[in-house]
Amino acid sequence: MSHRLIVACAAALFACGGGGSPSIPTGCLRDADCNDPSLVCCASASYSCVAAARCPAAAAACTTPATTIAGGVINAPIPPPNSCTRPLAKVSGLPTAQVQPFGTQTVGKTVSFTVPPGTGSVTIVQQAVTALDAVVFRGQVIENSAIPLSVVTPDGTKIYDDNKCCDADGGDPSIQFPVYFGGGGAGTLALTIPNATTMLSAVYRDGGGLPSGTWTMTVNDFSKECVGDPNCTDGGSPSSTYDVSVLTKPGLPESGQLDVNLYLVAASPGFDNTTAAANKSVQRFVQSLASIYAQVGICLRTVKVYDVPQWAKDQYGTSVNADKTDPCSALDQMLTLSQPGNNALNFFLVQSILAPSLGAGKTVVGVDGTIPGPSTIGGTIHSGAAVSLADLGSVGCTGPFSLSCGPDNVAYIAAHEGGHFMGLFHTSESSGEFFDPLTDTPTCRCETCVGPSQVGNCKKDGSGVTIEPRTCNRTGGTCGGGDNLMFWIFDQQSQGNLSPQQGQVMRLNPVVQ
Amino acid sequence: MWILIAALVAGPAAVRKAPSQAPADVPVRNLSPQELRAQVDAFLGVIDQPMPDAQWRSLGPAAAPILEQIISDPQALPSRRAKAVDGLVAAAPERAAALTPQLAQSEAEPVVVRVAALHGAAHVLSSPKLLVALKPVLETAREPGLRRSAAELLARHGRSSGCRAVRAQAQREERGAFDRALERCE
Repeated sequence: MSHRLIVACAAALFACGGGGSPSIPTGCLRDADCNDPSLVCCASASYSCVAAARCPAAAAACTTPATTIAGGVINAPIPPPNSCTRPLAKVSGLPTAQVQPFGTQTVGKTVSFTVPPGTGSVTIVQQAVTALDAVVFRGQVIENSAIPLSVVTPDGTKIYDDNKCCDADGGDPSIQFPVYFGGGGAGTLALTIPNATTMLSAVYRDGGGLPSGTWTMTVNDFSKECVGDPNCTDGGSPSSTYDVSVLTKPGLPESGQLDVNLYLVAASPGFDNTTAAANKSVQRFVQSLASIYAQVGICLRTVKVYDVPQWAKDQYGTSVNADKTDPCSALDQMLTLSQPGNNALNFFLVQSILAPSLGAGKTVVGVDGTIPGPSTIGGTIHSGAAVSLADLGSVGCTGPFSLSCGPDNVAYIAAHEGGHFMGLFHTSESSGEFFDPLTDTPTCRCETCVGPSQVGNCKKDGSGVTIEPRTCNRTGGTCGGGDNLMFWIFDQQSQGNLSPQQGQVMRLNPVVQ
Repeated sequence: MWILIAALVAGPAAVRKAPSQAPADVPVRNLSPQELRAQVDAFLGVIDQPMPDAQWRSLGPAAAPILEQIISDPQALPSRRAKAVDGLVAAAPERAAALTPQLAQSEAEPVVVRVAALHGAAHVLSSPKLLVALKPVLETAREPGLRRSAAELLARHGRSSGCRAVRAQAQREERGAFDRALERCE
């Protein structure tokens, strides 16, 4: 699809929104659309071409420091459940007017929902009632991810089609697809719209928001797609059922407030829920997390610290496996401990996280439930992220933000995982072959950026050379992004930067109030 | 079905994708000492996706002294020290075999480093040596999660003698604590 056609598509999308007078966008989708190389396509200037210095990530500043408070010990079963639990979380932290529950629906069923005028985002949530955990496709076991088969706006435009999505060829998903799905996990899915440049630009250009009226989505999962596919040798089912709900968020906010829950799963972190607020490391962590999100107008408001029962510390403190993410895995079971009914970003602070599929121990420091998470709905298998607090107590924190400082390091990791939860993907994946669906985050393509001695080792399947911040540190559109919070890896040069479009995606997530 | 194919080719689902196929080895790179140090530092910055063993091996044995220095540096961030253990296991397994048992057993080391050392030991030690290395952790580590990890690794790699040790220790643990290890020993 040509770029011109995509702009026209975005225009059509907006024009059918109903309410207000539709206008033909005259703006841009990416820097290349600006005929003057000194200008950038600025999301925060309604997707028009302006000088880079006049394109801030956010218009508003945060003025009130975050407050850390004790949350007590979570309400969890004692003794622990004997088997895997798959709770259906029915309570959202949003006002009831923003929640449309549809109960249990079978795959293949089309559900109609209402998008009021002035709506900024829609989040579709599917929670498995009866569904297999995995399918076998071409001999590989893949989690049975829930994903709508299609999402259709009131004028009949199919803005999401799972048969055409997403980035199998390594193209530019930001302008190929109005809505982007980057992979999910078995059991619970959240899909927040808009999440890619084409549609973001359509809703922001004149502030009208999403097209209002009756939308439809078709309930679906990988298991349903497997039925009749000769490549799928196990796991196909035409009858999975899901609890479906739709969350709407009004407006296109320039700023917002974010509450955070910290669950102390690691044994002996040096503080508990009652003493956390006075702990210097926790204070520094909160301050640094707040400063990272403040750059896009998201102001940390309340940080509530919870203790968990000893059995949960014993079971999850050192045993989260980032490669094992089925509903009965340690990660997913731990995330079910998130408290229902409050609208907050849930971080589970553990000692260590392993991802051993590619070698021995393979320590990682964070893992998210899904991208995005089921925001405002606590208690599901994907309602949060795990972050290692191993570095929290380390010293070296006398000056400004520094990744040599333990609490700053943990804050950076939490901010990164929270970014995933709010809908952000890695700007460039490790192979330098796959990129996020936003045009204002620089890409770092392996073949272009790793240098002549390594270019032969660029491989899409992840078996070749990896890209790094120091090879992705140029300004402009190519070989950049190493300084971005959502780059796949970080080093001392990492700045934790966020782009205007990333800010829009985050602020449109219902977890931001 | 495109999305399934996308998942198989390691698409952009950053944290929830099916593990991609085990990477083939890439050739050992010819790096200057400064470049090697920079490369090690870069590899220690992984967040939610691990650095494949093949990448560590591409640095060659010259990476070992750099990694050992980071592992033994008490001022280094514990998570970086743990990742350095992973790197040493991949790049210089013989040297890791000498280092991982003492790291795993030491109550003075951060838990994250000990967990990495436990798993690293299971990767580089023979079954009899692994039992010698992990049995003290299984029986005396203060952190229950470490005892549990040792049990599961012995159940998986320690053969019948490993399982005997696991069953014996299970009698002294809270009910259910070693269930996964005991299941593997069945």
